[in-house]
Amino acid sequence: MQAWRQFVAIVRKDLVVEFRTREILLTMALFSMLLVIVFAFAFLSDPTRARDYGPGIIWVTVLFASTIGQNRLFDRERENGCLWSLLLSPTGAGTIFLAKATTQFLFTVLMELPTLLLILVFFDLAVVRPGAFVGALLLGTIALSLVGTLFSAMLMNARMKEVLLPLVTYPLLVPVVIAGVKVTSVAVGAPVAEDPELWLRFLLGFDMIFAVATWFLFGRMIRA
Amino acid sequence: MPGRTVELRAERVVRVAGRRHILRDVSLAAASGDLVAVLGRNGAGKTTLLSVLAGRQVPDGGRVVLTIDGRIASGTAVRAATAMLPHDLLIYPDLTARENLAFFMTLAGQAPDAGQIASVLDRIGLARDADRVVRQFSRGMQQRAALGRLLVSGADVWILDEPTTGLDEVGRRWLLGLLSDQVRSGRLVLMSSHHPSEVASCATRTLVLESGRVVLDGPGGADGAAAAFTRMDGGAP
Amino acid sequence: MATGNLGIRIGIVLAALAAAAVLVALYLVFFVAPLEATMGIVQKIFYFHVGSAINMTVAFGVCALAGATYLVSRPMSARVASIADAVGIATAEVGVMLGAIVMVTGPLWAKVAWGTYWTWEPRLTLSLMVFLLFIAYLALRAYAGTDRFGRGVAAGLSILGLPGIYFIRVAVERWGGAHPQVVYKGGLTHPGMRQAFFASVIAMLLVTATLVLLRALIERRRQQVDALFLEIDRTTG
Repeated sequence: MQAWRQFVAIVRKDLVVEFRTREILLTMALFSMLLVIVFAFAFLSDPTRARDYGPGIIWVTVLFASTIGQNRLFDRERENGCLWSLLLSPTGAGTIFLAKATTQFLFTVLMELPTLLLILVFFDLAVVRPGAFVGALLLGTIALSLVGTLFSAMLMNARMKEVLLPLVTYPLLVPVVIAGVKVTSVAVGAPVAEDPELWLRFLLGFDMIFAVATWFLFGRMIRA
Repeated sequence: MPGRTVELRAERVVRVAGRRHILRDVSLAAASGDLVAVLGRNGAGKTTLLSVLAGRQVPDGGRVVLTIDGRIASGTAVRAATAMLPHDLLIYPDLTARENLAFFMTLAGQAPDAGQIASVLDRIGLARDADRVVRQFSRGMQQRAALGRLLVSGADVWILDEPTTGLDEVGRRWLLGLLSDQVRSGRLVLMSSHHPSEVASCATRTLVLESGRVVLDGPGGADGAAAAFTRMDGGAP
Repeated sequence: MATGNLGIRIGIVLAALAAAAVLVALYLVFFVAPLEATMGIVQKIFYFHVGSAINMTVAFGVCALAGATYLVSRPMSARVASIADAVGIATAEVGVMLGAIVMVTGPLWAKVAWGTYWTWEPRLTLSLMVFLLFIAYLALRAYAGTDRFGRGVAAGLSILGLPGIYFIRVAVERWGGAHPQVVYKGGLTHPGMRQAFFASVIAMLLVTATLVLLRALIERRRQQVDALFLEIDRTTG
């Protein structure tokens, strides 16, 4: 109960600050929209093949934008050494981690909404299986948030963190991107012989194992 | 929490950076009712010692022990009993003073109490500015807001790193008075400082660090302060 | 120091064994195993390619184990943590070397076997990912902090790498389902080929073990030198 109140307080704190400064959402959304436009120029010479490119573009955009968001989210905790105000409080490290990952998840989902709309319109994609479409994005975003939050917390004070964060997280996130692209392809009606349920279960398994692992590791890694 | 007796002990604490020592076998013991002034020239290890005592840094050797009513505390209990005010303040610049205090009360495991927060804001002189974001504050006001975090935390041990930084003379006297009050109500306060007047007016003990070693562990008050500063003056040119 | 000498003695024995095994493997590969009908001499790359890939994965497993040992033992035993840390850096560096062999020999072999330098064949893709994880590990050790903190972060990555590699494996196998996988199996029809294959895997394992042991010993020496410098600093500073 107490852990829950602390969890809510941390998430609320980040949302209040974001509502006040609008830094993270704005940078994430603008960046992802620019990315979509660049992709449109790069791939849309043949509009009939939009269904082939669309899913990949969706996932690359989500991956890049969430990386940017993660860096910014912990810049906030770095200023005034604030992360230490959390770590030195009686709040458990696991609670702190889950709260930050939840904030990251919420920000990424909020960024995804306008971006996806843009992609669907620009690339003239029709979502034929909305359940799989949304399911893959939610499960995938959870995975990105867990892995990203763990390492952006660790790399908060590192030199070259902008390069280090993707270098460390992308190899771990490759399966998420593969599974996400597969499900999204089926969801937009691309002619691929894939079982979306199998890949969704795969994503769910990834989320569960990495949720436990990252939650367990966070405190042990950061309290050096 | 008032009514409890806490004792903070450092046992041969070592902290290294690369191949150099920052703290060399530092031992000390302080208990509720003590106001320990940690003195030393720049680079003597004051900040590191306070960080280790507060749990922000882990010692490379030796250990820090906190006992509450004679029993050794660990983990959450230690963090609940200790609060630190370091140079980087640890308050959120984009929250208002009031929001910061409510947030830290929740983190400390208490339900935010608007009345208590208002009285703390009054006490740290920020009642009128309570709903401005901390980023707009002057350094001295930010220092007061950060002190509010300690006041709402309910911690038994206060660890402050040069807390008078950025405060004017009135603010400095007010702060030292507040710390003395805390000590009288049964808290243990450790603070680093480089002003003789501060030590003379409120410390019950003085500790002088030199190259990561405790070279003097003496009484507070005017005599203690004088002895400490003589030691520092002669210790290293 | 006695353990250090014992380690070096084991290292010498291992190195001798590895040298002998490499000679035997070379003999089996070039004089016993027959020439593959369509690929000719180029097929012999396969023996070292697969030997390196298997041992790279083994090295990552050991690295993750060392990482887990490091994080668990850090609060309790500095000695165990230091040894685990030395094993971690040793396996990572040797792993990167093995990965480089895999990444050079793989495309050479693939060019002749499949007519293209690179295909996203599941095992090759998996090897690339393990290679990248090792590089990320070394980058963390270099740039996330060369102190306790950086070592802990790198250890955490190596631990997450274990489930990571499992998921990567499942994903790339299903993802690359379109590519036929008969090639590896088809390459080992002849008993001479099978002998040469197992001999080269064992030879690479011994080479890997030797290099890891020696690198870990160097790291231990470096830790001991650091400790000696600290001892000098403690007594004189």
